[in-house]
Order: sequence, then structure tokens, then C-alpha cells
Amino acid sequence: MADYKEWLDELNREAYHDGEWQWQEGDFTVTRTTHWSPPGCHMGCGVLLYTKDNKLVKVEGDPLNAVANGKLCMRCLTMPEAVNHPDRLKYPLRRAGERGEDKWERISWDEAYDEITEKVLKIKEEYGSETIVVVHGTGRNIGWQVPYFASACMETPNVSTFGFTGFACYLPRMIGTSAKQGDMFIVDASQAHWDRYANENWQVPSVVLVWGNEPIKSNADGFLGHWLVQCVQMGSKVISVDPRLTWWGARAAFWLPVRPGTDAVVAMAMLNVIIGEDLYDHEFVEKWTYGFEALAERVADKTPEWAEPICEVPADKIRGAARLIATASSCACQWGLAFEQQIAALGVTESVADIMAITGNIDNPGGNALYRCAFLIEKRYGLGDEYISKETYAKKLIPQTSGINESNIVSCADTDAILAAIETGEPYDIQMFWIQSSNALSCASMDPARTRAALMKVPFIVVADPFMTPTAQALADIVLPVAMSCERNSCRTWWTPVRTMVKVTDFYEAKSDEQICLDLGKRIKPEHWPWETDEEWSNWYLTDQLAPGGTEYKRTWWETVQNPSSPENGCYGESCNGTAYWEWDATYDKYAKGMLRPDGQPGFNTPTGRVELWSFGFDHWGVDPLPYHIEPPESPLSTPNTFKEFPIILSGGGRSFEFFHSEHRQLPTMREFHPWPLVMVNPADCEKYGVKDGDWIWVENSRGARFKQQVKATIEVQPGRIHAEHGWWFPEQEGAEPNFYGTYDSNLNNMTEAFRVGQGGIGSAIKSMLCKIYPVQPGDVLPHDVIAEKGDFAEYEPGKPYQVVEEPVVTVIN
Amino acid sequence: MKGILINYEYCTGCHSCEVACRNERGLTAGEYGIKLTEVGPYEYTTPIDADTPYEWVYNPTITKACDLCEARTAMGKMPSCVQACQAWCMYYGEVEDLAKKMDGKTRWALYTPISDDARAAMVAEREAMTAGTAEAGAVQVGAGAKAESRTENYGTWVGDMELNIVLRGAEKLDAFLAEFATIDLEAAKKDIEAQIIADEKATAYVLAADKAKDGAAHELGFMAIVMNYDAQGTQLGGGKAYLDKGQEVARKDITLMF
Repeated sequence: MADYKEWLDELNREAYHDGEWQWQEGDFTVTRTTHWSPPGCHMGCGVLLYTKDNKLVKVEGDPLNAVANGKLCMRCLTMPEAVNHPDRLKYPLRRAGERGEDKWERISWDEAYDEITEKVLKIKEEYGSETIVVVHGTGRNIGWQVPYFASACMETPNVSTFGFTGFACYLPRMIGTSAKQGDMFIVDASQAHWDRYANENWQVPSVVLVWGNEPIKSNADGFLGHWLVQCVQMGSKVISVDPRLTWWGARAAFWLPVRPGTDAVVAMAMLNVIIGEDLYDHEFVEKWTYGFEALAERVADKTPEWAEPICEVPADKIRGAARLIATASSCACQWGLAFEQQIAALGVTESVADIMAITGNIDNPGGNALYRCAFLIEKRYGLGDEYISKETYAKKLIPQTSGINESNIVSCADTDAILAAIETGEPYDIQMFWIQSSNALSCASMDPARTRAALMKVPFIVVADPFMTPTAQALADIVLPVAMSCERNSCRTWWTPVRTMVKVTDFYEAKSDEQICLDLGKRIKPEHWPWETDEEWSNWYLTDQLAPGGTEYKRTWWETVQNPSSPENGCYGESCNGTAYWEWDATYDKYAKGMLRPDGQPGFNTPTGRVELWSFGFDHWGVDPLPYHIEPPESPLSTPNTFKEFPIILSGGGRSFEFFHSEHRQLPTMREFHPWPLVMVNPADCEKYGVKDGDWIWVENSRGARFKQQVKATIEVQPGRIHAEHGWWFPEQEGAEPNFYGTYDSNLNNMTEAFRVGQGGIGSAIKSMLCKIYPVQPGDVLPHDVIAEKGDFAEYEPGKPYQVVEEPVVTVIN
Repeated sequence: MKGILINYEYCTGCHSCEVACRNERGLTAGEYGIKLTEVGPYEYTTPIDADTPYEWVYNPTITKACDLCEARTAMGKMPSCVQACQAWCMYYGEVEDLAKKMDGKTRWALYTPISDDARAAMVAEREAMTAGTAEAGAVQVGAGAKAESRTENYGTWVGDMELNIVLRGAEKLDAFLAEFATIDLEAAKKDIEAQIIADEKATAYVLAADKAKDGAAHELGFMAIVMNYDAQGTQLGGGKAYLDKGQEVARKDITLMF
């Protein structure tokens, strides 16, 4: 699509029922809405749901919805397989044997609620509400619902994406840019404009810098990766910084195949070139930044030639890419999860944020826009915190040493502090886990065997999910069946536009996350739950949210659902088809217009009012306020002896089109396209290690932990590096202990670990580990057998990290 | 003539066209109306004068199942693959208009699937050959080929189980019944359903002696294809053991060729 206006002109709006949100088409009722939960997704594209006799039959994209213009990925296109799946949980279940025995009895919702209510009230009275931990996953309807539930029903400050050491998912980039720039920057692919690529203020990015992610597969953080494919068709040049060759790298002006975990070295060298060759944006730097001299001094000796032996990227490529970024009229940086899944998380975040700042690519058309959640409906974490008593809140589980946690900038509890509390009983024993839409054992939890062993000590665990997952099977005392996307009323404001989701079908006794929170909230703390329905609660979220005067959004949830595009009702553009766009997000140069600071003055929402190249926030947290690098705990440089025996660098967690994290494994179409977990191995390494495409291999680390996946021989990875997939379990296998649907056997997280984090308690080195590979042989002992027999691959002390195999000889480089 | 133009330079291999097409055409696992092909990734060692040394390109191939979404486009909608294409690199329209977009700057492919007329002719011809009405060595071609073969295509239920039955060469069954049977076609269909459900590998319809004019049993040979599906439409025993978890058969699609 090179010409959006032409596409719009040719679009037959009538054929797609312009002006209607629901209609009949033959035997089907068609409903125009948006989707993300469950199956989960970080987006919220417009969909047309075809239903008949209370059953979802077909899903299409909605060409009249400007978020994706009718484009749709295979996860939505196969949604009926998920919604109508025979394995879906139909009723609440209570455990009828030991945990993990796969023995369950059907109970009524009233029985489930009664038992949970009784236990919660007893725990609150006897142990304190802080002993309840509330866990949520990602992508589904959990962003604001579960934090509010934790605060206003459970009254606990301990809400967490449990198992994810070092907050290693997006949060480091969010707090990093918040500290330095006062807001978060997002690539401007025209997504804030209701008229999208045709908007007259928008410009296509001259350069798209894709760093540490594959956006067309991950669609992370409210950003649809294929938007950038549109930009490329409109002329954007590509720079890819990624250990892997991706769609972007194969089409890039510069592909920089960085050694995993050394991105900050590349970024510092780019800063060296941009400043050293005087290519930076003088006007922006002088008017709008603080600390430029300190930054220039920090990177003065970080030349591309200095960087090359560390990051393994040729110096001329770094220099060329830096020059292209600095001399382009705009550069949009699509950065990814690799930033925080390395030990130097905040160092690489600040380096790359600084590149964008000193080249003037902040809040400019086709650059990096400063977005806030639509209509300032941005209470998510921390929603309802005021209902937790100060005494209880002070007991939030945070690591003792972390300045970031002391500043309370992070609303969620620290996962390692929770794990330590369970393992040691300090500062208190945990009495209950409430796990909503999280399959921690298969997905988020670093070291799943350790996680499971710890959680077996927690007396009461409830899991809410649409399917019986390994986590529910292994740990739950009660399992609650969760409704799918088409079975619920809800809304999302991540980032923009506002999106609504409307219920069109039922499935047995499954209930939406919202309804479950509401029902229990009304039983346990009725004074904080004045709403009768999920619709009323969504209205409150969109328009009220406790703030004086409410939010800036004036439509109800139901009005948003029903406002179809139509010139007559006056909402043809900015608010239609289940979405609502916000002018603030669509405005450029907000810092110059006095739109960012509470005092209305020009500038950024930072202590100095400028983009802080030397960051007061970082300094306050005890984090290096200027760009820095830390070598991974095990790497060719930091542990040369270990590297001799484990000569391959393991990355993982790259996405595929078929799956969202640990979801979708039970759908026939997905397993037809992608039957088994794949580990990418360079053909040269295949030959070296005697394996071939399609073989199953073991990947093993220095503490003897291992997992197996199937070889994909490909030059997507460089020799000496492999890449494995995450989130795998096998719903077709035995669910009972010790197998747990095979979730340990192919689990990359057997090799990751808790309690080892970067500066400020942020970042975890899970994309840069050392390993060896060898073929799987018949009769090999499987990980789940090792775990059943020994508990884990190696011994550990409660609340402590694993003993280091080799002390690193190189750590911080700044 | 209508066609589909693909600027395959930008295809990302996301599979959306394949799945959207299956949804629209009701195709099952392993069947496609459009199917990705992938070339690469590899790195050229031979100089090729291009933007990068890497080749990694997808190009969807349109199969014979594609009817250019006749029903959708008649309503003014886009073909389902074009609508769903995430890379936004597919276009539908008159081939003359589409060809103008091919600018030589990036790689394009223009597809023109089988036309409706040609499709109708193929069906007629195949049925004529199956029925044996086309003379050996002188197969009639084109729209003039007229089939005398008869196909019975109907649905029914056995308890909760849905049956979809196609009887090809039903005129042979008619002739067989006329010659030997005391029962009519509808009763014979019930017999056949029961026999094929009892034995999916059956190779002949057995007319029982008490239903025959001469009081003796007779057989009419056929070839049977029976496909079983569960309530979600998942094909059972389709070669993917992980799908087959002992679900109840909710639907049988039976094709008998006499």
C-alpha cells in the first residue's frame, strides 16, 4: 500500500456497512468491535465477528477501523478455533486430589466464590492482606482490571507479573524514558491520527531503526508492527540492530548483528560518531537538553573501533548507521524487549534514547512521538492504591537495595522479593496466590521448577484462565473459567485510540475477567465496587476513575461501542467504529507548546524541564546517569573459562506469527503451521555439532540445566549463536505431574534465573546466556524427570541466587 | 479480466492470506486457495547488484481453489486474502489497471486465477469423463461438454451426527435398482448410509436378498471416501495425531463414486 488515499477512495464503505455497528448478513449476525482478550494481544484491531446461534463462526478484519484497516493476523482469523475449543474450561473446578494429580470436581460459581471469600477474609484477619499476591499475565484484559482488583478487593500492594526477574518487560524502557524525557516515546507510524497515513501533518519516517525486536511478529506494547511495513513501502529506509537476521535486516541499509547483550556498546559508539563528527541537532540540543557536555565526555573514547571487538559489529557499519540516523530528516526507533532482557537494561535504554534526542527525533512527525494513554485514561498499575492502608502498603515486597523501588516509581511488587518471601518466610509468609490470565510456569517464570517448588508452599492458590494450563494443573486449588474476547464487555486505552470490546456470545459458565473481579469485589469489599455490570465498570474506567472532573473522555462505553462511522452523526473521523482518537496524542512538538508539564510551561516533564542526557532520576536511583554497558554474567569476555565448554550464545523469546506467548498451542491451525518449538542454529554450527534441520537437540548451560527443541538450520542466526522459542507446552500431552503437559521439557527458562539483575534492580540477562548443544538420544532423561527426582537442575539456598560457576572478569564498561 | 497483484517485495510471510482464504472457502487442513512460498534466507556470494546481499522473499501462490472470492467481490468487498494481508502488498482489480502499478522498482507478480467459465467447463468435463459419456480418445472439451452423469448431494442426521453425502454416478445406482431392487432410491440411500457407517472401508453396496426382485443378494461396486470431524470441525485421523484426542465424531463427509 503505497497510496493510502487511493485505497480509501476505492474502499466500498457501503459493502462493509458504514454507519452500523451490528447487522444481519445472511444467516449471520455481524458485529463491529475490537479484539485483544483472550486469546491475548497487545493491540486491539478492528474486527467483524460473524455469529450464529450464540456461536462465533468467523472473524474478519474491519476495513473501516483505522487501527488496522481490515488487516488481520492469523491469531484473530482463527479465533473461532479458540473460542469453540473442546478443551476450554466450562465450569469452575475444585481440586479433588493432591496438587498436580489432575483430579478435579465441578463446583458452582457460588461455591467457588464462597470458598474464596471465606479464605480471603480469614487470611486478611489472621495474617494481613499483604500476604495475598495477585499475579497477572500480559496482553489480555488485565492491565487495569487486575491491579484495581488487587487494591480494592484483596487490599494488597503485592501485584506482579510473577516470575519475571528484573522487571524484564517494557517497564525499564518506560521508566528510563520517563526519567530522562518525562514521557514515553513511541514510533510515529501515524497511529495517533484518525486519518492515518493521509494526515497532512504526518511524514513518513526517513529511517526506521528497528532495534532488538521483530515487530511484525511481536506487535508489542500497543504497536502494530506491520504499520512499519507500510512506512517502508512509502519510502522509509531501514536500519536493523539485531543478533538475528530478520525481515528488516534482509532489507536494511545497515544490519548490525550485535552480540547479544552488548547493545549499549553499539549505541555508545553511535553517540561517539554523531557527536564526534558534529552531526547532532544543535538547535534541539541547545534549547531542549541538559547534560550534553557530560554525555559527550562519556562517549568521547567510545569509537566504533573500540566497540567492534566487544559487540562484534564491524566499525564501518556502526559509523554508517550513525551517520544515516543523524543526517536523515527523521528517524523512528522501534525498540524492543532485548533492551531489558540484558543486564545493562537501563544503560542501553539511556544510550538509545539519547541518540534519538540529540538527533532531534523527539515528538516530531515520523520520529518518536510522546504519547500518553488516550484521553489521559492512564491509571493502570496503582489503580485503587488509595484503598490500601498505609501500613499495609509499606509492606510491599521490594528488594532492599533498589533505589527505583524506594522511589516507588514502580507500582508492582518485585518478583524476586516475592520468591524470597515464599522461600524464606521473610519478611512474612505468603498465604495466597491469585493468578489471573498468567501461565507463569510455561512462560514468564524464570526457573519454572524453582517457581513451582516455592508455590507449593503457598496454602491457597486460585487460577483464572480459559484453559487448563500447566500452571493451573500444577498449582491451583480452584480454577475459574474465563470468557473469551467475544464473550465480554470491556475497553482499552493502551496507548491510543480508545478501544471497546462488546459481548456477542456465551460459553457455558465462563465469565469475563471483569465480571469475576466485580463479583468477588462485591462480596469481599462491596464499598469499593459500586458497579453492577462490566459495562458500568468500563464506563467508570473511561470517564470517572476517581479523578476530580473525571477523565477527558466524555462518551460512555456503550456510546463508544455504538458510534459507527457516519458523516451524519458527526463522528466520521476521530471517534468511530468502537474507537476514539485523541487530539493531544496527534499533536507534534508538544514540549514547545507547553503541553507536557503540569505548570503549562514549555519544556519536558523532568526536573530540569529538558531532556536529561545526564539524568537526575537515574542518579537518584543509584543508577549511572550516563550511558554504560555491563557484560552479561556469562559471556565470552566475562567468563572465558566457561565459554570454552559452553561456546554458544543463547538468545530466546523471539515471537512467531502463530502464538501469543504460551497461548494458542491447542489450536489445530497453529500446530499445523508450527507444530514444534524451534531452535535456530546456523548451518555451519549444524555441521560442527553434528545436527541437522529437524533434529531435536539439547541446549545446556553451566549449571546443568537443559531443554530440548527442534533444529531450524538457518542463517537467521550467526555462527556461535542460537535462538530458542519460549512459552511452549503441549496441551495434547499428559497434564498430571510430573509431565505437566511437557512444559519443562522444551522450556528455555530452565536456564534463566532469579535474583541476578542489573543496576537499580532492573534487567535480566536472559537473551545472552552461554550454552552447548548436542543431539537428543532415545532414552535421555527428560527435564521433568530430573525435576521430579531432584527438585531442580542445581541446588540453591532459599532466597539466594545460584552460586556463580565462574566469577566474571569484566563487568561494567562506561 | 480481474486478477490479484502482489508486491511481493514486501510480503512478510505472516500467513494471514492463507488462513483468511481457508475461512472464506471452507478449506480444511493442508488445503489452500493461496499458499506462501519462501525463498531464503541466504546470502549471495555472487555479485548481483542489489540493495542488500540477502535474499529472503515470500510470494504467495494462488491455487486452483481460488475463485477470486466471487461472492464477496459481487457484494463490493475485497477478496478475503487482499483484505487480511497485513503487509498491505496485495491488490485486486482489472488486470490492465493492476499492471500499471508494476513499476520495475520492486518485485511484483500478477495472478489471474481460473475464470468462472473455465471452472464450469472443467467440472462438466470431469463429470462427463467420470460418467463414461465422453468417448475414449475423443474427450469433448470446452463448454459444450455436457454431462449425463448424475450426482446426488445431500445432508442428513444419524442421531446427533451430521452426515454429508455425495453420490457420484448416481445414474448407475438408478439402473442397478431398476434392474434388481424392490425398494426405491430413498430407501436404498438409507441402506447405503447404514452400510458405510458400519464399515467405512466398504467397497460395494449390498442389496439384501429380501429387497431384491429375484430373492438373491446383489452388489454394486463403489469407491468410498469418508472423512470424520469433531464438533469444532477438526478432521479426525487426518494424519495429525496431536489433534486426535478421542473426540466424538460429530460430522461425516462421505463421497461414494459408483
